[in-house]
Amino acid sequence: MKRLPLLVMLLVANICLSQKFTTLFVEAESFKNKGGWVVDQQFMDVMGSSFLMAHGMGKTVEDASTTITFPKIGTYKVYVRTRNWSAQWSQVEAAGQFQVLINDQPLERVFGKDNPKWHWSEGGTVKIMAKETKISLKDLTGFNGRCDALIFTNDPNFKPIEDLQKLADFRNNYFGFDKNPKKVGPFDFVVVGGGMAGTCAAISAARNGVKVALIQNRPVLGGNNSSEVRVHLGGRINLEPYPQLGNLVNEIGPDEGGNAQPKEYYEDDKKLQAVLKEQNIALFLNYHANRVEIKEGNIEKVFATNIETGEKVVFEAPLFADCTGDGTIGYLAGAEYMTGRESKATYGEPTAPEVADNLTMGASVQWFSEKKNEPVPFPNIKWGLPWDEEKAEEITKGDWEWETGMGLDMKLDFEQIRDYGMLAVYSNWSYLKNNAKNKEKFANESLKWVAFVAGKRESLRLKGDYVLIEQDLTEHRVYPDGTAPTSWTIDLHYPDPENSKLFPGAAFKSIAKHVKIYPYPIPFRCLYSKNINNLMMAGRDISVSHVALGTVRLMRTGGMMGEVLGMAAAVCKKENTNPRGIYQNYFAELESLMQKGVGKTNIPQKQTYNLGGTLLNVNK
Amino acid sequence: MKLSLAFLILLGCFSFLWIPPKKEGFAFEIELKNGGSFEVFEVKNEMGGLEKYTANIQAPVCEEGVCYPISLIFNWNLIGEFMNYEMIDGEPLTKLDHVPFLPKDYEKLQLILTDKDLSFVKIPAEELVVKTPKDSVDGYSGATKETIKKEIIEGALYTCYTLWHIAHGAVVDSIEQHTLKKLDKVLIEQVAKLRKQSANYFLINHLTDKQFEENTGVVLTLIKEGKGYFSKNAIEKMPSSVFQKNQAFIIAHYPHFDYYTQLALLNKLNSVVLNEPLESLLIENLSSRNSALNQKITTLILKTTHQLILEKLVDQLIQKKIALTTTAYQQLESLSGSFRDKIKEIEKVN
Repeated sequence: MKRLPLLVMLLVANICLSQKFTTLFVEAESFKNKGGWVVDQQFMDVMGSSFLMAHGMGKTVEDASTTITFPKIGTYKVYVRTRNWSAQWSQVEAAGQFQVLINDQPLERVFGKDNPKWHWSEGGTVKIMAKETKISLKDLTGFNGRCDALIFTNDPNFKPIEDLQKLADFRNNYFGFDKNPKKVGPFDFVVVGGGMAGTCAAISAARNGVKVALIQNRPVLGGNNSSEVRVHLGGRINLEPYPQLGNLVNEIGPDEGGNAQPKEYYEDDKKLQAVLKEQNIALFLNYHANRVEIKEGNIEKVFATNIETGEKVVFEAPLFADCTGDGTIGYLAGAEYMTGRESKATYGEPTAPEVADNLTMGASVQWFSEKKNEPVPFPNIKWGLPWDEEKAEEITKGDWEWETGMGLDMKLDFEQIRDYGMLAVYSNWSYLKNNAKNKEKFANESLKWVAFVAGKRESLRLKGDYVLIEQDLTEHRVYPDGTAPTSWTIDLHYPDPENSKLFPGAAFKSIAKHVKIYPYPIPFRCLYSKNINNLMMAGRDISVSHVALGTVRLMRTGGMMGEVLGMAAAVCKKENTNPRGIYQNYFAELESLMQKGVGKTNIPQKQTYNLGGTLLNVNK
Repeated sequence: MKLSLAFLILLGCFSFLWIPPKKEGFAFEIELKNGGSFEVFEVKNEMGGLEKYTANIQAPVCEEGVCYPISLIFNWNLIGEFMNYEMIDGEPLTKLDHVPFLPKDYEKLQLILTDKDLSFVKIPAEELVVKTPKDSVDGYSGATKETIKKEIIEGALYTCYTLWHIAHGAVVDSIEQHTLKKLDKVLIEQVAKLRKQSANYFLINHLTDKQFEENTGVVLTLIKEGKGYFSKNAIEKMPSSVFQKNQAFIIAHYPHFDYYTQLALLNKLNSVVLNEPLESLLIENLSSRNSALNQKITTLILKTTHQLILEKLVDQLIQKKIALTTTAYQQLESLSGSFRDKIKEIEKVN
């Protein structure tokens, strides 16, 4: 991907902005050397930007650094956009503290200690002695200090902008990306989201002769199944009525199962190579789609921002797929959507609550430790949750049930949700290592991995021409437009009652309730938007009730939905129609593609783990 | 004193389970991995028909180094699924340190032995308990430990484990084979009477074409009541000849079948000469939404020799705005009849 060199950008912007004074805006995520800091884009639609985070799991990470060019030497005021993330739970100390170094000399102020909200923290003044100056971020705690951006200004009247919209305008104006987004294409089909659903959608379309753009807002493909989140695939493939669906899932899915396992288990590269092999796919890793243009009920353009460089790209196509999980594209396009739990009255579902509410399933922050030959220390944190013997979980691995955020907003509150998940992990671990009765048992255990990309189960569900409900699944009400079969139980998660007693209103662990079903072909009408004519969906944001989401949300099922979307894209292209047109007039063509399948059939069946309970008559 | 009282109470609780099986004949012997074995017998009903299988199980079970023999009776149904266990007089079950089973333990054992989805039974025996010094960390995640704890009877882990593996071990295949060897009309009805999806599949997976023909009534009833994909699968397994003879059944039930069963049926009808009422019914069931189903119906109807049926087809295609594939369109054009004038009104798809 072509990046505008940071230095040129800064210079040009600087000249545009002011002749007299100099104000430099430096995005932390654009630092040339990220050191041990990670780029976190998960909340950019809410707080305005991706940022750098020192995810050291208790050990300080290597400095991040970059060189910037000041047009003039002299004295500059410094502002740093950051937050004290642990302050919403504890007033004692701050979890994520860091320093800013100018040519390796720290500014006096320590950052990440003040405001619990994202804000510009004053950094005092600094004398810039050379035009080429090295700026570094030095982690002081190893506990997720975060820096969005820095400002250097010699304008005495400059006030950093706190208002999110004005700040966004300022950034856009400063860097100029919005004025001239890079046009790419042409494409027949743009797939947003590179999890299992989106990756399969892109490959399936490409193999069916469709020119595809695949946009993913992380550096790796796989989503919840990537090594960043580490949830294994679940559900069954190669089921009736379309036994060839799932061949692609088998082809690109990891050979081994297991949640919260070492990185290699998730085979990120297998998925990437499968995409790179397809001539018909243009892959856009590290791009977050965040704006759309609509005309007469059709999406015309999708805009995406590079999560490191800020560069903007515009995609035009006759057909789009929302495989974001969060329904991001549908939401931006004004697609009808559902969220929370529907009431019993809505669809007459036996499992639905009497009164609708905002309870969603949560997001998991998984973790594990490894045993060393010698004792390994871990900071005795003061900012953690209050902990004691009763609360202590004497374990070395946190699986899917380390799940939090139920009842919160999976978009607006997601930074808080993820942070609370991490806070629980650190609080428990710090207690086990330093204060527990049995702390000797954990002396040689070293916290090896804690997810910083939280694994979401549920956010928005986009409404299609049909909404799949519980009775369709339990009574096996099959429709003629069936596609990918969902096979997992209706698996709904609730806050763990035991954990809720210990942490009232703020459980970080969950329980699952299961109802077995016969494999059920998801109607095609659940895979395209009701009111956005050229938008399809695959994955957890399809048109289902909260209860029905319990089964369709499994990643093998999402992958098969992706396979179907790719085929549907091919029919749309061939017949010059839209998804509803397929349902009405060309469904036979889609049926024949689904019968044929799209994945390789000459490779061994590896998807034999985590199949889930079923009413299917399973052959021994 | 207390123990013996408990024992008496237990016997009281479970004596109702003791129904001496009408063992009619030795069926086969199962050898266990640890060197033991047990004999399986047929149990017949009053009419003399095979009803189930039974065996006296005697197995040594070791809990944390202490071993003791267990004796009870196991029953399986005709397709090798574990049904229940029965106690033998004077042979109560015990847990660790000879603590006798409580009534709730006996109930739980029944639940365990009939559950195919337990996770602890999938763990190799030697890994069931992590043999680590007490001061080291358990390698399992909290979930795994908790799941196993919920599944088993505490203090009787190996009893549950051993008995489950006997109930679901080699005996299952042997029973299937034994039933298959004896599968006649009466036994087919007996299996169908189990009213279980697994039994229904057992039948359609094993019946020969001849058996399908001889037992059409039984199988068609299963199809009528089928759940999941059973009806579709059953139809796919059956020879076309059955449908040639049973077109009235199709006429009565086709509209109530799900889409995939309908598709399977239409595929079978490819080699069947359809009668006029069935042709007529299929035309009425053309959908205004284009699908593979429509294409299959059209293909079938185009083979007809009935002029009126062709007219009806053309009318329906026009009325419901159903497009024909190019092949079907050409085929229709090649036929003669009074409908020809209307063909131009029919739409085409690729």
